[in-house]
Amino acid sequence: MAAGLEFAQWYPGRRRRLVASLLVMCGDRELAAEAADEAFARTLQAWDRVSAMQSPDGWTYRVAVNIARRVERRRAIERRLWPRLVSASDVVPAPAGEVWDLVRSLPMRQRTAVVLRYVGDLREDDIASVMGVTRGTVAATLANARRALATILDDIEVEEP
Amino acid sequence: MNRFHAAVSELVASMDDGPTVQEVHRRGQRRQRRRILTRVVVVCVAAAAAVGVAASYGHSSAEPQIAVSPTTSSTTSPLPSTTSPLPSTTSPLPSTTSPLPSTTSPLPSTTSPLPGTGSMPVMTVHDSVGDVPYPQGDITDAGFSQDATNFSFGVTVVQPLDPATDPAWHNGNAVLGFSLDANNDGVEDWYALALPQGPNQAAKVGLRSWANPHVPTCWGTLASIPGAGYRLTFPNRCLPGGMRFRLHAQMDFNPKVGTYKTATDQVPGVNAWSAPFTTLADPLTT
Repeated sequence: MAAGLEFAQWYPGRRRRLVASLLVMCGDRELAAEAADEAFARTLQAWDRVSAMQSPDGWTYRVAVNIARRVERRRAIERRLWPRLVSASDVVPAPAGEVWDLVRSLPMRQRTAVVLRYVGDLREDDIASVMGVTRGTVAATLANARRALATILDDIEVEEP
Repeated sequence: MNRFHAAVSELVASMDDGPTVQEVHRRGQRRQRRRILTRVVVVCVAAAAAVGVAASYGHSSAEPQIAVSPTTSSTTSPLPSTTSPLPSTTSPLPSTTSPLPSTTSPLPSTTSPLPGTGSMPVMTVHDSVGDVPYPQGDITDAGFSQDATNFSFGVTVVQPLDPATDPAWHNGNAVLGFSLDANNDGVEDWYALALPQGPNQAAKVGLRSWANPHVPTCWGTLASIPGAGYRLTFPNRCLPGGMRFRLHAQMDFNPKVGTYKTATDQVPGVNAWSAPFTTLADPLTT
């Protein structure tokens, strides 16, 4: 199998959605880009195995989300250890805007599901894989999130499952 | 299209395409090399530790020697002869957890003796005077050196203060850091920081790996060299032996207590790195 060629066909355009998803999750543009790039590098390294999976996207998103969360955990520790240094390098949460403020106000699980579904454009199976939950849990979480967003944003018309 | 979908479309469209496939491939290769190097270092350190333990228990008749990389540093090396044996192989290894001796003497010349004895590392990275508004944070030189048990990063500044008593150090308006680029890609792989915690409290001095967040923080000591500058010292086990790296020193300072903004002096310059140094290939790793 020409793994390099297949990755070259699969990769273009995917980074935008992955970086955007991570950005909404963690609020740090630099971290989002770094985690995404690292995830794509790992995907390419393991392409023979990943390309045989039902959804390479799900695997890549899971790697990227794990990287971003690991860095966030590390920063939380460093924030306690060296508060001034970390606060000095903190970035303004992004993206800005009312819609994203509302998404950020959702509980972590709902926010992750919403981001992966609507920003990452992942299927519920893949979201379940990334979040480590069942597909039913994803469906229920998304339904709750849609209700929460719809009560605040009158014009939100996200589709029902 | 509702506001939500419009916001998603706008957000996704605002992202750039990022690296090319070739760049992703190169990143993967670098990552692979780093993993291999880490494994090699771990094996070497484990082997060196095993040899050291065996020697200390008299299982070897040969006295262990300090092996020094042929490229110990880019500097005029302050290190001792590379062939001299340790004084005794039966005595316990020197403790590296004890604080460095207090330095009360002024800075010696740049051909100073070993670090860890109250001196500064040889200063090989130079910076202009007056490039930041505060002489207390104006770095003029930076350097690295290593002996059998410790390694040190040091800076000289135009007007050094005593971190133990100075308010700017106490309230976090003075921060000294060193970045290490170990793979020549212009991105720091390790960083060392000195952050005093307040009056009469020892500074927190840590060395961390950016590349591998699982590596725990390695703790060191801050020494103030009156009339000269500052030195951070760590046990040799804090960095891999034989690691080649470039150095970047940085100091934030503002004498006004309560002011958040600080002036930053970066040496040898913004996004600039020193000539390479190399840690000892086989130091004591106690």
